[in-house]
Amino acid sequence: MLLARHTEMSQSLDRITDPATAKAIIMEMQETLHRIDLVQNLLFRQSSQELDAKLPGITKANDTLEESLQSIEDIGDFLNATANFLKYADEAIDIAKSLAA
Amino acid sequence: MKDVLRYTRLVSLSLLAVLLAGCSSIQPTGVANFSAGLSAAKGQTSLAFQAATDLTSESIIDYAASQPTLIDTNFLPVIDPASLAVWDQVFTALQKYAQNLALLTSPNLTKDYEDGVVNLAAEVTQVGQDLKHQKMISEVPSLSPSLAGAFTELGDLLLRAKAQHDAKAVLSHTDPTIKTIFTTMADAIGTSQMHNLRGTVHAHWEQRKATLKVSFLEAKTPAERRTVAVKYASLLNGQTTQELALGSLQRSYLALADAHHALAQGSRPGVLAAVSAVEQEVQNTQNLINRFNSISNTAR
Repeated sequence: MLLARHTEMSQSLDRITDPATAKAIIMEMQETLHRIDLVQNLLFRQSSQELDAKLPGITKANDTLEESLQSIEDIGDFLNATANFLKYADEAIDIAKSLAA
Repeated sequence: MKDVLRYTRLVSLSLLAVLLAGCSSIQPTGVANFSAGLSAAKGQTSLAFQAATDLTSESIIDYAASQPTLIDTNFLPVIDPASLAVWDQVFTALQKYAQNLALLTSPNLTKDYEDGVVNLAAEVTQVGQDLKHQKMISEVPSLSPSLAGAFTELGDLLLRAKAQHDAKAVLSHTDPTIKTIFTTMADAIGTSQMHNLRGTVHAHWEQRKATLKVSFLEAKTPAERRTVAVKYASLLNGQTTQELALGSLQRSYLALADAHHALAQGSRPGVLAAVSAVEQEVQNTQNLINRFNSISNTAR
């Protein structure tokens, strides 16, 4: 409604040729614009609060995705850990061999 | 024995292939493009809000200066920093979400696993040879190439199936939240020049133009009138560009919501169309923002 009123006043300037009348309309437009700014501030705060309320949903989805990625990584880690264990076992055999010789 | 192994491998892989083909898989390129679109939208949102703040703050000061006393409420910004921080947090969480999805659907997902199997097979053979050399065992235990290959392929398929299943479940479960987020963002920008931020920005341009209309009426010579007309033309250019950029940004959010929905639905044509729309809209917004930024400050 405020926006419509502001547009209406702006369009009325197209038909005015008297500078004093035009100035008076501009003053009124400025007052309306100030109210538009105040409402916009409130609307933006409200939509940001709505977005904020949705953040936990995204955080939860991220946790689930990270758990899934971790479980797949764990399998690779397990295989590598087993291979490393065998590497140490191999080194132990080498040491035993050199001690026996 | 070899035939049995080969047969088992063939049957297992065929079964898994049928299972995987039965449910449509998530396209990594679709996820990657969604992620890229999201990052671009985040940057463009920041630039668009900065431009809107620059435009409106001057009028706010003009209004405050026209009042009998200086009061804080006359300086309320159109876009407050606390709300901006929330938008930033939401975009950061969404970027992380898209990156995790991209990782989970990546062709390189099972690389660690494949490397692990290769290392393990090599170590089993090495230890076996050492034990045989020490006469502790008579035969070298080793993973035969066909068994190791089957093990790798089977594991690879299973892991990918699990990743696809998990990614799909998250995509599907999160889709309503993602839709609400992007719809809220699109609404905050405004569906037309008569709504929300687009409406406010439009009103500020109209206010600037109105001031020039008075200057035009007050101009005494043709040269003065021409100077005002040149300024007016510059304002019109700035207004058109900024309003088009905001409209394009609003459509980018909606395109991102559609792209996510298509990914969640697993429809290949849907994903291609939605991702293409995101790419186009994001590029369009970027071009308009670049054009707006190239307009000199005095013309804004």
